[in-house]
Amino acid sequence: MSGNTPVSLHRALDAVWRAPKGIAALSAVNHTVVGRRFIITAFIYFAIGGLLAMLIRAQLARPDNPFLGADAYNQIFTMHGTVMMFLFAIPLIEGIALYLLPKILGARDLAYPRLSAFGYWCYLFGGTIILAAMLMGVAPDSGWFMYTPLASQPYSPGINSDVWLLGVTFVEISAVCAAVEIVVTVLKVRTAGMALTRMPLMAWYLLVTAAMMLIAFPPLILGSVLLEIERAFNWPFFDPERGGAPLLWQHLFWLFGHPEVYIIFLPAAGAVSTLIPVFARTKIVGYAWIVAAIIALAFLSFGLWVHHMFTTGIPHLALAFFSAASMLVAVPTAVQVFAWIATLMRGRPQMTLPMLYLMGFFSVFILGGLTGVMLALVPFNWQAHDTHFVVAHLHYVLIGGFVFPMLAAAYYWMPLMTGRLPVFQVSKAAFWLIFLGFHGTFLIMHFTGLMGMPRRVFTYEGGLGWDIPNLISSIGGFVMTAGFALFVIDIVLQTRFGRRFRRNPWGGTGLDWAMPTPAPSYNFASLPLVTGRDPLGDNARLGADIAAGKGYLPGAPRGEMETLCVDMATGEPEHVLIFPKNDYTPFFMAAGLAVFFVAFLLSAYWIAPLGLIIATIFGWRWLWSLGAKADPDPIDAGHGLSLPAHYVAGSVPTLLGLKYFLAANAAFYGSLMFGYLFLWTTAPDWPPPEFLGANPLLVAAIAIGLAAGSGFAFNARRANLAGRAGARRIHLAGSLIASVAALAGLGVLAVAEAPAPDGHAYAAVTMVVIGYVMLHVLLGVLFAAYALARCQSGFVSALRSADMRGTAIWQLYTAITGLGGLALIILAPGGMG
Amino acid sequence: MSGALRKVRGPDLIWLIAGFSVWGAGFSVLYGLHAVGCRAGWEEAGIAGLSANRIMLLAVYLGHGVLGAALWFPLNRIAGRWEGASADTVRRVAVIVTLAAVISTLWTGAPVLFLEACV
Amino acid sequence: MCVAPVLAGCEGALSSLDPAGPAAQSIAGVWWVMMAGSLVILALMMGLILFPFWKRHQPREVPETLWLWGGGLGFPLVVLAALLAWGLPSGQSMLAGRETPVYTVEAEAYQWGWNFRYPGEDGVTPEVLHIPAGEPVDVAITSLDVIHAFWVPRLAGKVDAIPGTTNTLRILAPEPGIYEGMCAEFCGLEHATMRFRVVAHASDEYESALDAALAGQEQP
Ligand code: HEM
Ligand SMILES: [Cu+2]
Repeated sequence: MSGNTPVSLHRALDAVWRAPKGIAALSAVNHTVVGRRFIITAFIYFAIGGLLAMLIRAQLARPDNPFLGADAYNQIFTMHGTVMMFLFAIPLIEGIALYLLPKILGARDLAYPRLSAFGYWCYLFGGTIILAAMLMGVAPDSGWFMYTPLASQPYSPGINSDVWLLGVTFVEISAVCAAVEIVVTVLKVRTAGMALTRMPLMAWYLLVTAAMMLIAFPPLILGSVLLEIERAFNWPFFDPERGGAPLLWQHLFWLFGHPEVYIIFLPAAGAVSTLIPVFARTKIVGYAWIVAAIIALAFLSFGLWVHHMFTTGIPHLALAFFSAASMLVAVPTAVQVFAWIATLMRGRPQMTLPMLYLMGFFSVFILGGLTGVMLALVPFNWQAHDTHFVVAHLHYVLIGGFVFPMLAAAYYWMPLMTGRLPVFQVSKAAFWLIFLGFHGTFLIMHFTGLMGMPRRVFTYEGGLGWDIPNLISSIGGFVMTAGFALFVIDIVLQTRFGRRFRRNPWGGTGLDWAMPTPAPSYNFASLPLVTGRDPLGDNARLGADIAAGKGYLPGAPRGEMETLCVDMATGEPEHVLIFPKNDYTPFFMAAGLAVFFVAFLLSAYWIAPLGLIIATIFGWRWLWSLGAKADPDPIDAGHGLSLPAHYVAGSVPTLLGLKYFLAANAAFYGSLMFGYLFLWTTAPDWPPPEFLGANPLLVAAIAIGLAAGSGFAFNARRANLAGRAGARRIHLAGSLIASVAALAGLGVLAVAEAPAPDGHAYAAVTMVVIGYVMLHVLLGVLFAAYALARCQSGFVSALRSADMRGTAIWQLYTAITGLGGLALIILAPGGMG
Repeated sequence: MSGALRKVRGPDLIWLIAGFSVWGAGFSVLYGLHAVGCRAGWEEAGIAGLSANRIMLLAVYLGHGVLGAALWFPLNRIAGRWEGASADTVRRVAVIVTLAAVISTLWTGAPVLFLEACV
Repeated sequence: MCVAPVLAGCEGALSSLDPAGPAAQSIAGVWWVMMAGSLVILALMMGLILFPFWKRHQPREVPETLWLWGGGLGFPLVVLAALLAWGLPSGQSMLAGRETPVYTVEAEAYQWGWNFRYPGEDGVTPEVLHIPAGEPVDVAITSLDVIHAFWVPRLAGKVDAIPGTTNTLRILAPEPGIYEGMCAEFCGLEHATMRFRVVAHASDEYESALDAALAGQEQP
C-alpha cells in the first residue's frame, strides 16, 4: 500500500469506474448513473402528472364547466393517478435507493449493477408506452385501479386498458428487479464491520421496503396478466356471467395497492429518520424501536387491503378485522413520530432548509394519518368512500408522507450529487408556496367530499354547496404548482450557481459524507472499517483516511471493480465482489421485452414471442458472462485480510438474488392459488359445467417428471462437489430429459384433458395454473441445458459451483410448485365439487 | 440462558419476523375460515349457545394468540446466548416485535368476541 | 349535533353533513367528534414538534419510556380502542338483514341509470325510488353491467352495485320528502350524471303513490 496518494488512487480508480460517454452511455450500469437516471426520469413524470392535475383542477374550478368532456377527463384523472403512483413515486424511491445505498453502506456499487440498469430500461420503455398512448388520445380511462368489469373488454373495447395493463406490468418488472437488488445489497454488500445494527436507519427502511415490494407487486402483476388474458383471449376470470368474479380483481389490486402506500412512505420516513438527528445535532432516540416499528408496519400493511372494499358487501365481521388492523397500523407510525419528537427534544434543532420541508411533512402527514384513522372506521367509510374526502386524504398522505420528505431529502443530498449548496431564499419561497397551496387545495376538499361530491366526476351542477370549495381548491392547486416550478428553478440554479463547499456541509455522521463531493464514480478510494453507527461522527478524519487508501481494497490494483461482501449479521468481511464492466446486455434484453409488450398491445400475437426470444437470448448471454474458467486466487484486501472472489464464496450473491426472486415468484403463485380458491368459494355460477379430466397415468408421468427433474439436478450438484465430471453430465442430462417429459405431459393435459378456457372461469384459472407450471418447466429445461454447456466450457468446478446450485434451486422450486399446483387442480374438483 | 455464547448469525434474523408471521397466519386463517364458515352454514349448527362457526373463530383467534406468546420461550433461550456486535440491538428488536405481534393478533381478531358472525 | 352557523354551511341536497336518516345522523355525529379530536391531536403534536425550536437548550437526555411507551404505544392504542369500541357495534346496528324482515325493494343499476322494483308489483320506476316514510326499508342492490354504487348521503352510507351479486342496504327516511342520490362508483362516461332520487311518502299514501308511479304518472 505504500506509494498511494489520494490523487494517484483517484486516478487509478476513476480510470476503471468512469461512466461511459456518448452512445456508450447505453451500456452504463454504475449505480450513481442508474440512480440518477431513475431520479431525473421520475421527476419528469412528476411534472407530467402535475400538469394533468392542473387540467383536473381547471375543469373542476366551476360547475358545468365546458372545458373538458367526460372522455378527456376520464383519461386525464386516470393518467394522473397512474403516472403519479407507477411512474413517479415508486421509481423515485427506487432511484434514491439505488443511488444512496452503496454510499451509506460503504460500498462501491450495488450487488447487481446490470440488474438495476435493466430495471431502468424497463421503466423507461414501459413509461414511454403509457405516455405515447396518452399523446395519441388512447390513454387508460378506467381509473388508476382499473376495476373490472369496467376495464374488461365489453365495456372498454379500445386499447386504453391494454396500455395500462401492459405498460404498468413492464414498469413493475423494474420494481421487482430493484427489490431483489436492494435486499441483497443491504444484506451483503456493506463495508467491513458494519453489523446489521450499525447500519444507518435508512438502510433498514430500504431493506424492509424492498422486502415488501417482493411480496406486494406479484399480486398486481398476476391481476394484470389475468385481465390482459381475459381481454385478449376471452378467458373469463372476472366475468360474472361465466363463473368469474369482479371482486377478484379488487382483492388482487388492493393486496398490492395498500402495501404500496407504505412502500412509498417508508423510504420517505427513512429520510426523515436520517435528517432529524443531523439537524438536531444528536443521535436518534430509539433505534431499536424504529427498526421494530418498520418491521411491524411491513406486516400490518398487508392486513389492510379490504379497507378499500368496505362498501362491496363483504360480511361485517370480516370488515371489522380489517378495520381493526387499519387502526392498529397507526401505532408503529406513532412510534416513529414520537421517536422523532424525542430526538428533537434531546437535541438542539436548527431550522435549516431541509428541516423546513420536514416541518411541512409533519403538519401535512399527521393530518393525513388522522383522516386515515377516520376512514378505517367502517360506518364513516360508508359515507366518505369514493368521495373527494378520500381524494383529500390520499393527497395528505402522499404529498405529506412522500413528497415533502423527498423535497427535504433532495435539498439534503443534492450537494452530494453536485458539490454545491442551495440558494436559500428561493427555496424558502418555494416551500411556502407549496405548503400554503397544498392546504388551500386539499384542506377544504375534505369538506367538499362530505358535502357529497364523489370523486372521478368530470362535471357537477351548481347549488349543491360544492361551488366555492372547488374554486378554492383550484386556486390552491395553481399556487402549489407555482411553488413546484420555483423548486425546479431553484434546483437548476443550485446546480449551476450554488456555493461550493469543502466537505460535509450539514454535519452528517454517515459514510455518505465521508467521500469527496460531487461523489466520485467509485464512491470510496478504500473501504473503511466501521465500529459504530456514526462512523464520520466518531472520526472526523475518516474521509481523509479513506481517500488516502487506509481502508480495505484501496485503489484498483487488479484493474477490477471490487467491493467487500460481509456476513449479514455481524458485518465481518466474507468475500470480494468483482463487478461486471459496462454492458449493453441489459439494454437489449429490455428492448426485447419492449418488442413483446408493444406487439401484444397491437394484437400482433405472432410477433410477441419473438421479443421474448430476443430477451431470452440476452438473458442467456448475461448469465454466461458470470464466473470464470479457472479457480481464482484469494484476493488481498489489505490489513492482512485475504478473501475469496465472490463466485467461489459460500454465499454467492447471484444465488441469494435467485432465492429472493423466487420468493417474489412464490408470492405470485400464492396469489394465483388464492384466486383459484376465491373463485371457487365466492363466485356466482359455480360449480362449472365441466371438470379437468385426470388420466391417472398422465398425472403420474408428469409428477415423476417434475420430481426427477429436481432429483437429478441435486445429484448433479453433488457429483460436481465430488469432482465426478461424468456423473455430473449424466445427471444434468437426466434433469433435462425429465423436464422435457414433464413438459410434454403437461402439454397433453392442457390440450386433451382440460375444458376450453374461454367457457368458464374454472377452466380459465385451471389453464393458468398449468401454464405457470409449464413455463417453469420450460425454463428448467433451459437451466439444465445452460448448466451442461457451462460444464462443457469449463466454467464449473467443485469450487465454482454456482451454476450447479442455481439449476438445482430452480428445479426444486419448479417441482414443489408444480406438484402443489397439480395436486390442487386434480384434487379440488373431487373435494369441493 | 444456557449454552455457550455465540455471535448472531443470518438465520437468527428469523426472530425479527417470526412473531408477525404468526400474526399473518392467524389473520389469513381467520379471514378465510370466516368466509367459508358463513357460506357453509356453520352458523346454524352449534352447542351450548355457541355456533360451530363462533367456536371455530374463537379457536383460531385464541390459538394464534397463544402460539405467538409461546414464541417467547425459544426466543428467550436463543437470544440469551447472542453476543458481539449486533447482539444487544437484535435481541431488543426481536423482543419488541414478538410482543407487538401478540398484541396485534389479539387486537385484530378481537371483533370475534363481540360482533355477529355472518351479517 | 353541529353548531348552528356551521350547520348552515353543511346544508345541501347531497350533503352527508345534513343528515336525515338515523344511519347518516349517527355517522355525521361521529364525524364531528373525530374532527374535533383530530384538531386537538394535530395541535398537540405540532406543539411538541415546534417546541424544541423555540426553547433552545443544551442537549439533554430524554426519557425513552415516556416518549416511546407512553406516546408511541399507549396514547394511540387507547384512542383507537375507544374509536373501535364505538364504531364496530354502531356499524353492525346499521346493517340490513338482521332480525325481522322489512319491506324490501330492488335497485338495479346499469350504464347509466337505475331501475327500481317493488315486491309483488310488475314494472319498474326508473331513476326514482318510492319508499314509505318512517319505517326501515331494505334496498337489494345489483347491477346489469359494471360496478356502480347506491348512495343517498342524507339517509345512509353507500353500497356497491356489483353484477352477479346482490348487496343490501337499509335506509330509513323519517319524514316524507325527496332525498337525492347518485352513483358513487366510477362507471364510465356518464358516471357524473348518474343521479337518482328517493321519494318518501307518508305511509298511508304510499300504496297509491307507488301505483301511480308504476303506471307512469309522475308526481311531485
Ligand atoms: C401536484 C398537485 C396535485 C394536485 C392538484 C392533485 C389533484 C388531484 C385531484 C383533484 C384528483 C381527483 C380527480 C378526480 O377524482 O376526479 C386527484 C386524484 C389522484 N391523485 Fe392527485 N394531485 C396532485 C398530486 C398528486 C401526487 C403527488 C400523487 C401521488 C404521489 C397523486 C395521486 C393521485 C391519485 C392516485 C389519484 C386518484 C386517481 C384516480 O381516482 O384514479 N396526486 N389528484
Ligand atoms: Cu354508475
